[in-house]
Amino acid sequence: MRANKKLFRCARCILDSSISESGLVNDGQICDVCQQDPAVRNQLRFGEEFDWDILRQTGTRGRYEALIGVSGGVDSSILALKAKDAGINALLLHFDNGWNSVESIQNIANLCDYTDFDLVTHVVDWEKFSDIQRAYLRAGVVDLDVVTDNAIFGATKITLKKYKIKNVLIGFNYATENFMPKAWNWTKFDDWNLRSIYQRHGEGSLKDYPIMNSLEWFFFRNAPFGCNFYEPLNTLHFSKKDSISYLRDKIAWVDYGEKHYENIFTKFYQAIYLFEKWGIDKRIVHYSDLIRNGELTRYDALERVASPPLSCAERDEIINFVSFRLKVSKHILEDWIAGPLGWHEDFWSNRSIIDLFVRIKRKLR
Amino acid sequence: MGHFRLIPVLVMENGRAIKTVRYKRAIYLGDPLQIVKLYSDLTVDELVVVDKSASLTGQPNLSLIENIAAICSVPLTYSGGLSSMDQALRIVNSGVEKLAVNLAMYEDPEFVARLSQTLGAQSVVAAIDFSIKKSGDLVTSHWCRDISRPLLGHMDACQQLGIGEFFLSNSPCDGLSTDLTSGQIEPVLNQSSVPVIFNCGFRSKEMINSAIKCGCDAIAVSTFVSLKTSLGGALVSYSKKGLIGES
Repeated sequence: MRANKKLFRCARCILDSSISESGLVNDGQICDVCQQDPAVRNQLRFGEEFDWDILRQTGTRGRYEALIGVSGGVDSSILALKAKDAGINALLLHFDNGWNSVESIQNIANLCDYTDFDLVTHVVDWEKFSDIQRAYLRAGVVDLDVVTDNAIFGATKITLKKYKIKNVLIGFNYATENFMPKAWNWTKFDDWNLRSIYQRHGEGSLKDYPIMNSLEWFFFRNAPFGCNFYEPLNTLHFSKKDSISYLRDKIAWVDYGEKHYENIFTKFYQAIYLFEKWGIDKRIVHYSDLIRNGELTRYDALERVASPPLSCAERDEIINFVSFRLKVSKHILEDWIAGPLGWHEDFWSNRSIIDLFVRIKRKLR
Repeated sequence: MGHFRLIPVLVMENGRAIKTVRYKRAIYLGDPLQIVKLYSDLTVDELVVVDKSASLTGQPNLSLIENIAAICSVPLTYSGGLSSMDQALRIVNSGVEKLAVNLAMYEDPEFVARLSQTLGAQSVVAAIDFSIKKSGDLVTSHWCRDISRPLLGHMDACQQLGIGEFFLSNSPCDGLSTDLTSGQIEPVLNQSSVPVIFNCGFRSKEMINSAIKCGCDAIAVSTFVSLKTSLGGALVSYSKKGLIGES
């Protein structure tokens, strides 16, 4: 997707002018994200401890005061530890899409042992799930994560209902995740899009497969009918580096490399599919976040993105494994990666309806 | 007593990995290939894969076994529905180290003897399901057949056919806790001149440790390595930390 014209890089982070939100038109300019960054941080009031008592006041219908989704990654692990330190009785939910790395499951097991929190796992039906993933690869669209993320929200909803939990803690944090270009993602609740892509490129039917639709999610997410969502990491001076050393110290946490690489499919998606097919290097965004958070120097970030995300041997290993698991030949998988770009817009979508709802909600506030 | 082995057991049904309770109620664990890959990455001592549907039909899913063997880098035992030499050879050639026979021991001892002669005794495992009578006696059983013989006598018969290892499952405590006592374990160990793997519902470190104290040097586990916390969230894990003889 990257145009052939000359790219300008932000003078502070490493975003470039191929990202439309950067607002870069000249050399030596500072991008819009960096310019707005201090104001947002000010507004979030970092440093004020999250008020954990809120959870105790609202979440007493069932046994658990809050639900925490855990992937074995940095953010969710540290969130669970913080909740433990605050004396919250949380339920951990792990969504298993069949692509866990060994590091991620070790981290989750250690996290359970340390926190003594209960764990429930939602395991997707592999045959169906992998069929949807194949359909998305065939369609060649940009956001393959929709398949997993949509199902995560579905699993969250089921678990909250089953255990009568009112509060959800989310590992999202502005400090290390402050920007993602809109063109690199698609709406995760766009059930029409999912159905339409599957209908054209899938092999079976989605009859028994749970899909979270946008309306359902909207009402679920917004009180008074739904649940409360909190982002406790947003009030901390969150730092990825410090968090990792804290986790290593407390739960013998194992590192898996780049952000989101705890899942093998996501590793394939970010380091091969997006990088080679779409010319999208998510490291640019992740590193820029870390630069703004004062954890990485611009020089080091530039040096790291200068080399491809995977070595040839690593790439081979991932391609072999992904084709093996998806039961397609390596040849076909490479064809999908090299093939034409697919557009979410070419399929049915209810994105505009979702956007409308979000706008109405903002107006009502 | 050699090096203590802690061996995960993976049960499959129709190509899906499951955790059974008393071989009936099942919790879905996911794609068998993913689970085998994780155990393999965790470098477990050995892995036993049991195909329940193959036991019923007598037809092992050869392509699935080949895929499992391809992704598994630890010693692998396959169990389920073995009845012909051709199947056995194909499975061994795909990289499976040991083959377990169960019903064949009752129905076709001749086949077991030939298997042992062709592959060598070290590759043939006698898988025996047993239950505990009220009197405390151990008798053989099978989840889909009515077979009841004294366990020790049956073990003798197996050893004469030239098997290299026993895999003893106390099926009534599958997915539950063991009620095996040291008074029951010790005669079994004394009876056998080959290694014995106990697969008897050892679901906690304490239970495994007390079995080690009785002299067990190989224990098969499934709940212990596939479900976590009191709610039983499915999660593959493997750690020998805290077991006797381990750091």
